[in-house]
Amino acid sequence: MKKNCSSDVYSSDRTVRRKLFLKMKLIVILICIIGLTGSYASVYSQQTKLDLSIQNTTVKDVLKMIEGQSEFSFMYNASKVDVLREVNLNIEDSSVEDILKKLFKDENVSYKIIGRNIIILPKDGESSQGQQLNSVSGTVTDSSGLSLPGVSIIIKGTTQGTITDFDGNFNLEDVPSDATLVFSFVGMKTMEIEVAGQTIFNITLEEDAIGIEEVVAIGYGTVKKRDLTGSVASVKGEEIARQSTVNVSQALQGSVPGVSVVNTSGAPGSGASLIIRGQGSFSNTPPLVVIDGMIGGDLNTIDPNDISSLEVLKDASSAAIYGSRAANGVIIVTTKRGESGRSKFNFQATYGIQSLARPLDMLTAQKWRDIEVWKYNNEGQELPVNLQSGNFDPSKSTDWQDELFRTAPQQKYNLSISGGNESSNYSFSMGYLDQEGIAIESHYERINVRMNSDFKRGKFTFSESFGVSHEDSRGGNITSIRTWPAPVFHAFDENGEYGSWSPGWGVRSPEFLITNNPVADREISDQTNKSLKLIGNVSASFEIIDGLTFKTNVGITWMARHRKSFVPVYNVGNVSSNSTADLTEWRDEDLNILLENTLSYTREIAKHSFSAVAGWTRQSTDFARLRVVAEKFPDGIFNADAAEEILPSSGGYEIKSSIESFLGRVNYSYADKYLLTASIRRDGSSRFREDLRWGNYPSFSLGWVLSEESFFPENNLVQYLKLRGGYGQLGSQNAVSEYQVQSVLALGGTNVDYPLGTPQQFTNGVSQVSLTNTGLLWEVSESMNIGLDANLLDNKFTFTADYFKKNTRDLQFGSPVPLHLGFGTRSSILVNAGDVQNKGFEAALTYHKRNGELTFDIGANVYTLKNEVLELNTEGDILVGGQYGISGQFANRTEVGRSLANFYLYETDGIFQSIEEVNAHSKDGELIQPLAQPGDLRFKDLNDDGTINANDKRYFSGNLPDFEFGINFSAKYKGFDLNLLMQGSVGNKIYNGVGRTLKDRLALNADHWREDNKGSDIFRPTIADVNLNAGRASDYFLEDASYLRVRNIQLGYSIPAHLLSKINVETARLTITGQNLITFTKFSGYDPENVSFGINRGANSSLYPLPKTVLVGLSIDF
Amino acid sequence: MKQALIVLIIMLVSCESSDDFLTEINPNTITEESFWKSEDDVNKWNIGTYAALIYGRGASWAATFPRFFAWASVERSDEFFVTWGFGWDLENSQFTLDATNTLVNFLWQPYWQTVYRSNKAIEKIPDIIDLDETKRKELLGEAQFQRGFAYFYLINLWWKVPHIVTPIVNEEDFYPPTVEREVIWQQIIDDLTAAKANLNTVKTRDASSHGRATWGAAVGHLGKAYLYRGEWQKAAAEFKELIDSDVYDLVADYNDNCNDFNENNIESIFEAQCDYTINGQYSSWRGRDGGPKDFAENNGYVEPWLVKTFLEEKTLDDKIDPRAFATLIFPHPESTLYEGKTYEEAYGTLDPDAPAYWRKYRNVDNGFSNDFNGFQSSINDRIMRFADVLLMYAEAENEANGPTASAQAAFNRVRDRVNMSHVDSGISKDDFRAVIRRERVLELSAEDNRWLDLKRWGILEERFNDPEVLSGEFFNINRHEYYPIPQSDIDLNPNLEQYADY
Repeated sequence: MKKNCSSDVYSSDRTVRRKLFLKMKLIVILICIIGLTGSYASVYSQQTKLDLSIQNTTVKDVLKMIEGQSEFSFMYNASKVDVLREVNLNIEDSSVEDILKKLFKDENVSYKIIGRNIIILPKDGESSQGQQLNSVSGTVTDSSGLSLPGVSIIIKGTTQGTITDFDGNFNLEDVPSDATLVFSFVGMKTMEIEVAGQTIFNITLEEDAIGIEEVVAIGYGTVKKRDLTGSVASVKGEEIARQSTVNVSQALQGSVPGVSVVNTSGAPGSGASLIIRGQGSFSNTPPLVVIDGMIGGDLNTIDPNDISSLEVLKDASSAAIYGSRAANGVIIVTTKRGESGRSKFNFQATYGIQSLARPLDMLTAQKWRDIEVWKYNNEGQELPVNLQSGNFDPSKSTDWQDELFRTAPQQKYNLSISGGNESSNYSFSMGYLDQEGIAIESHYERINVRMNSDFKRGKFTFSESFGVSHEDSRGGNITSIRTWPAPVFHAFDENGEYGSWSPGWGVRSPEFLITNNPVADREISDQTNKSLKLIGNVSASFEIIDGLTFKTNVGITWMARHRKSFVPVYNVGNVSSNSTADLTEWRDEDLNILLENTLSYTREIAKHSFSAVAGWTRQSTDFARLRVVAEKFPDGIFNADAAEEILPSSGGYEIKSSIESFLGRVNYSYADKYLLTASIRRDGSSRFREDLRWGNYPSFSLGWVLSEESFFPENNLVQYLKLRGGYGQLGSQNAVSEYQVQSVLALGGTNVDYPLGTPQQFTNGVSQVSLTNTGLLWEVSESMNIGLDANLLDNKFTFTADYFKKNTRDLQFGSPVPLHLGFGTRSSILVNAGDVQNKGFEAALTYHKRNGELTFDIGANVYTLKNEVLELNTEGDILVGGQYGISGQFANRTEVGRSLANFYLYETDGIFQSIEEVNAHSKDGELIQPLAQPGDLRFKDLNDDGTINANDKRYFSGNLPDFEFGINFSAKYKGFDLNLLMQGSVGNKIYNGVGRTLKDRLALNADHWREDNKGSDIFRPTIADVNLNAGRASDYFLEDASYLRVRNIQLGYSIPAHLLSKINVETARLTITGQNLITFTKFSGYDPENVSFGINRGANSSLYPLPKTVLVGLSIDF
Repeated sequence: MKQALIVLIIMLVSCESSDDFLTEINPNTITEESFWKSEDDVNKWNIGTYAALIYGRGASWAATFPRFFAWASVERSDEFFVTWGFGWDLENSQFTLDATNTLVNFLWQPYWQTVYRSNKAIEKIPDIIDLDETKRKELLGEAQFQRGFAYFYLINLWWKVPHIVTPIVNEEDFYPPTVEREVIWQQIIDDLTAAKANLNTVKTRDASSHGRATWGAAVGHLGKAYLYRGEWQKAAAEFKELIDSDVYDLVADYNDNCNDFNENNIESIFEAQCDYTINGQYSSWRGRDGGPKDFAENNGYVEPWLVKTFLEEKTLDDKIDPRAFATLIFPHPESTLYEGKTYEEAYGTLDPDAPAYWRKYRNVDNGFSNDFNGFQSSINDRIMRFADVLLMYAEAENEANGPTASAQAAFNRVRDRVNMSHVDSGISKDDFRAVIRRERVLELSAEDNRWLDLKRWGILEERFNDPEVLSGEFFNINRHEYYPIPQSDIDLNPNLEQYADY
């Protein structure tokens, strides 16, 4: 093969060759490394020469001395090899083999040298007579001598086992005398004991030194937590399941520092938005989710109970193995797999009641009228006829909040079965969730099925993970509060028909016809939204030589969604009506296929530990949609065939995209002290122009475990200390949709068609409705991370801290196109708009304490984020955002040197208390606000030009919190356990865009400014807002949205085992859980979490408030 | 090692050409590359350009001429007194708006859509190979008309606007500066002059093409451009050419200009096509505002001075001007509203001071019982009709050459239809000017001419200060003669010069 280093990368055949070359190069490097390490290892035992001169020393000490003189380490079982035997030896310049020969000359012992590891074994035949069966028994205690109930004891390699009783005692029949017993208990180190003919075992289990031996998924492989060099947070399945949330995403809230979990909607079934380490990008895209190796999963389709562990790859050095897919971080989900042993059954059920977490106090009809009357009187206008005394009846008042929200039940069940033997294992689960929404007519139903299994035969391993979920929902936001009718209107009239209203209520349109009856709106239309999602992958791996494994992984996700919206003929008085029944129906299909070939190698030679992976992957997606729009149906029939007319807006389309990648990673560690990880991924995407489609994303990171160093003093304070640091690059195409760099024309459609002729005919036109940037580039972020992990005070505390800095360049941004370019509102063009820097600090501290029967854990984490725009390529170095409704109001602006989407608002200076104050607000004798009246807002004329216009806006802080934090506490005592999770954010503000009009409906508005209530900070109500009190985006609407929320509080009780054994149940736990019960905040809207992202960050616009929920639950294992 | 090599080979074999795998062509729509090949392509493109006349905002309920422009003209002028609205429309008619006003935003967009789309057509049409030369001229003329037409409204509603005559290609084109008004005026005259020449063969259209620009539309608008600039001689010449062509005439029944029974008729020079029966997206929304209280959404009433003007002068047979009954719903025994109900039946009064409402362009003649649920109508917007041309000719001719016989003839032709007396042939130039201005009220009320007329006559301030006019309490000639450029565009394009102190 020709090494083609030509700079002409655009020539397609050359490019192919270049890529093949790259692919080969990776593999060649890998093979070279394998060869090198192999030969290096075999040499060591022959070349190392030792001197020994000893008298009456035990074999054990001799072996220790050899370990001290060399890099060898010995492994043996003291119960089988007599190491307390005393020996005399005098040896010079001998190889280790010679020494061992002499040492064990007359003993029934053999040994094996594997690199620097030497295993000493009793000779075969010695224990081969041991097939006799005994009954064994004993007691299990913890280090403080207290008995441990519920410890699982299994005969290794079988399904046979038992658990300890209330007093820590156990008894196990028919145990082969050469068997190994495995003792395991949550929070304790698992212990393996060889029976070796004994029958009584009094075992003391040691507490786990909090997790550094845990295995953590890092993508295309795993690593022990102690060997991690990047910033990876790991959450155990139990911690997720324990929260009893409907979705996995919500369960992550407050538990991982650096991960903002924001519930933008409380609609049933809706997941939370996850933002890992801040928003480096304008596109609010979620992190990449990898479920059992399948890239691009959906966290919402997984039953939280199915998760074994979840890892968050936070920094670029760990995420770079996913290259351009990982710009927003990676979440790796590993679902539960079966373990060797008998079948285990688990059943869980929860039932709960949800209600509006923070109901708002609404105006009554009487108070609403008082405000209206004041308004008309104040402006000297005639009172609308229905508000006049005699016509108005204050007794009929509607609280629309009560009409639109309700308390709603939810129930959830999960059944799982798992088990296996040495060559195969299985795990099946089924879940069902039925959640009614707190907004009327909203609901969510989900059925999940999951099947995971692994099969091993010789050097082959086959694995399969398969999940199916079916969702049926009607969610949607509740109609915006600003469009709710006034309390004088009623959802239903005396006859039980939908309430309607007629003129005579006032001059402002919301009081008249513009306002629909929101109850009728929700109830009349028939909405269906069903989807079937399937995610599955099959992998086959083959161990070519020791440690070298080839793996093929084929994954598929497939989604079929069916949505239907049917609006029958109806007539709600003058308020709203539909004269022809309308149907809109969508059928979507989304197919995603992944193919991955990887070659991985692991080898440990003495103190060197090495692993590498190289691979090639391809992923393609194909989305298709069919849409039917039809009208005029016979009564009671809702399907398109029955329609008299299928409308021309019916149609369909298909979107295909593909991505191809090469990847490689090397992990190396020496003596568990020095750690190194380096990776690279090369991605090509169909979304970019051919010559711009490839990107390379390298990373490296280093770790140094100081506590392993000989100079590190033994002390009681720090038991484990690791420093780590890394650098990496990631790419993103998240803002780019398929075909976006291709210039397309609209054939027909709104704003393109025109009814020409006499008689008029629907005529298709053609036009260009958006602009295209064909030269769009990858968005690239470069980041560095420095971190520290420590175990403190007798391993009771663990501490992790990270500092990171992330620069994102060539930000992809849909820059609003000025209207005078001719593309209408909402038109934007995707450009590489500039560079942004995010930096932040994260820390987490956990404390674990076991004191007899009381165990408790406290965890706290905190993180900060600062964000600065370094460069913008737009004219004037400004990007505008935060558009409200249709009136072109901008509340945010992005400018170089400030944070992304900084609030940019008019500054108010209180309320005019008198006409004198209005007149005093002048410049050179001219009034600055000539239309203002007492009770209106006083705006600051910041540029001092005598008028209030857009040049008087300034920046306000608060679009990002100062810090966010989470605190969790869990305690166990005897059968009881208590879990508490609190979470919050400090210093962030919300531009309460909803509140701008919402105030018309809130009770607090009754306290508006008037002559006899001059202290009020609520501006006067007006018929026409001539002073633009509400019409200007000002700091008046900027509210402190700091909050502290008791996210989850749970009390559990485990029924004693001796009561359960009679009904063949191993464990049974009852729980009562409260979610979102208490929120401390000053924010006046429904929910301080209701924040929009992207360029409009911090603007509160929409609305499905988060419910509070009380749940009871039962979990049994049998 | 041997096995590793096998695996390696498998891996290499399974990789085909990446670039094929990574190439995805949009399968859903036509592309710029595949378009601009035939007459049909240009035809469709020009239709796409007309679309901006009715829904430039891109939302189904947003009509350009048949709604927004009515706000900019009828409700803003001294024709109608607005008492309530959404806020932004109220700000517009009460002169309390600022640069973030929604209506201004809505109005600004469609003209620029027309500009972009016609720019593209003007650039592409000359290079299309497969196109008959006569057809090429016709299609090009149509695009030139559309551009000149759009700029005419831009320069009359805004103080200064950018001058964009080539399609936007990339980001460098995003920030055009505002230019001197004269540059835009010259562009309008150039475009309409070119359109007039290129559309020379298109004096009339087949019924299936009604709604597309013709030679007459180009000449009429060219004359109007000269008229607005005070180039009287030139204006008169264009109008005369149009009148003498005998392509157009007045329809016998004035009311045929007010409903949807006789659209695109012989009087029609250019109409925005509306039809709410097709998908609801092509509706006129004029019925939304200014309709009779309790029967339509009502946001005010016709100014009393205007009603009085209609009643001042009787026909030759001593009847009320029939245009009053077509234009207005007013307290008179014969004035009808929905379902043939009289004013008295509807409101129980005929007190002459009771409010009047618009009838023209409402669904009154369609048998509707009210307009609460039928704001949308199929009534085409008569952007320019022959009666307007006759009056504009009379005005231009009078200004250029005095009240000539030809000017009087045009004027009298409009009066004849409704059986009103001829002008006194000995009338002075100034008096003739006054009667023409008055006649424009009678003939063209509620048809979007009033605001622009008052502005070009320079009497906006005078009218709003006139005690007989109720509107305009906050009117300030230095701030309200033109609209501000929408703030969002000012924010995005720092090269735009904002009008006045917005």
